[in-house]
Amino acid sequence: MTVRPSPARLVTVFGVLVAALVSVGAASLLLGYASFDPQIVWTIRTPRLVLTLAVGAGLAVAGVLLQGVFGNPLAAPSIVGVSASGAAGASIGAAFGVAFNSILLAAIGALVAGVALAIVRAVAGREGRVDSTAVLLGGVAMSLLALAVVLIATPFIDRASGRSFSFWANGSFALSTWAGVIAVLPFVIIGAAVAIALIKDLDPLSLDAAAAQALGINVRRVSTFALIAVVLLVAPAVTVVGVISFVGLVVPHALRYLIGARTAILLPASALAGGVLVAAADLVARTALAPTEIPVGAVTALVGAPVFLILLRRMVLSRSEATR
Amino acid sequence: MTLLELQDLTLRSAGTTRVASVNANVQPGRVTAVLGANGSGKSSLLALMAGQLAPTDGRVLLHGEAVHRMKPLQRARQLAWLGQSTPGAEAYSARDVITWGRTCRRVTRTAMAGDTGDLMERLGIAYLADKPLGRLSGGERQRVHLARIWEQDAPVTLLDEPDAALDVAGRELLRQLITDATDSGRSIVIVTHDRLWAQAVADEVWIMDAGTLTAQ
Repeated sequence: MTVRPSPARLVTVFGVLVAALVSVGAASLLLGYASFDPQIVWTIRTPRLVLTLAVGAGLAVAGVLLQGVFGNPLAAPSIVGVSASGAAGASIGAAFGVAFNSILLAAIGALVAGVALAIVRAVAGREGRVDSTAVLLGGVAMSLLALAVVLIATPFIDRASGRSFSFWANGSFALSTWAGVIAVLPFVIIGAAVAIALIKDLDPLSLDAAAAQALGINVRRVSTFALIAVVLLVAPAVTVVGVISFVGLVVPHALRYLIGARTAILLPASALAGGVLVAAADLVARTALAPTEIPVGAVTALVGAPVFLILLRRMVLSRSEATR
Repeated sequence: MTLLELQDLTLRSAGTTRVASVNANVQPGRVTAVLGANGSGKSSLLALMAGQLAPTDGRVLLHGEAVHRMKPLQRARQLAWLGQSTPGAEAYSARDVITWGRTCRRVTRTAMAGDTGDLMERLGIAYLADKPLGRLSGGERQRVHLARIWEQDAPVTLLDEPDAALDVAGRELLRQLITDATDSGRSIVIVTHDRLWAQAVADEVWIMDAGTLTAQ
């Protein structure tokens, strides 16, 4: 495990990520089932690429924030219920006729996800502190509840829109437009700005809440703002592309092994890696079995789940070593 | 002059009175040891003094202000508190964790970037500087947290069984740190089970029994 990465390692990791970003970005614009056409590139592939990068960066940064605030390496947007409740908000809004890929639908998704996360936090919290196991279990229950809402609302959504239950539950960038980019990007930018403002407080928060509070950190305020940032980074994106799992869980985990846990380094690296991962997953999703498109959430789960199991095993082994 | 004033301090929780009408004062530059059996309310008393718990009745005053009502940053500049155990931060280096002690003083970047080397050397943990906390033994981890608390440099330092995980050499180092701190005017309150060590290090001993301060 790396705790203080050398400058050479940091340059290498960030260099590889930037190179991957450029390569995946170029491939996403150039490759596709249709032949190369500037019109297709500008109206379909470019907004799609921008969305994959924004959504991936948002999910990974949200993972860093959740794992920091809840003191649990298993916390992630799709596990604590933010993603699914964003989808619930979107499907309710869409059932009532709110336009897809709109700022209003994104705001409804954020509102519902915010309420859901507040409920999970309240259930798992006591005297200003949050039980990190209860927050995961509460999040799983909230996710199931939210997906039930999606199931009920989906029949009331115009079938021709292409938003089936699978779209909300497994994610897809197939319906991405510039309007979708405009609906998501402002929320992601504000969420990222809040996350950046919290960087200095997130490291000491990895001690227990009482110790962090005794160091002068307003734990309740930092947690609240971090959770608001999570909602802004994730829920509006879900209203446009559905739930994409494992990104917020795996990216921060994998990077911690490479560059350590310090948030000032982990946060920008996660944003880059999350964007690259989702852009690459979407490229695979739309080209691997073209013209059939695989749900992008299925690709991230296929990659993310085994990687996560390996990381989990390494974590268990290193903990048992430490207690010997 | 009184630095910390405990007035009718009472804590009830889940139908049990954990601290009952405690009245006491902490003077500047003095070491106070709190002794008592398990469950006598020592840790609750210390957490109340640190503002970590809000009293059911009574209050703890610091410069005339109730500590549990102070903002965390304002409180941390006056009061350092080390609980019985401090979980977490497994993935961070010992040096990172010690630097967090300066969180309440980070008006400038230089305050956060200063060297922790001397203190680590003194506590015999310089060799652990770049090791992750999750790989340290209980005693090593306790020394790291003591260094963190010392970096906080607060006028009042509250330590809950700081000697529990320490070996003989560690206890002696802690005794020296405490003596030097009080020489420079800091007040220390220590909860401990070790009566002999308490007598060696403290100017004053409080004895807790069933939530009550029975002797000072």
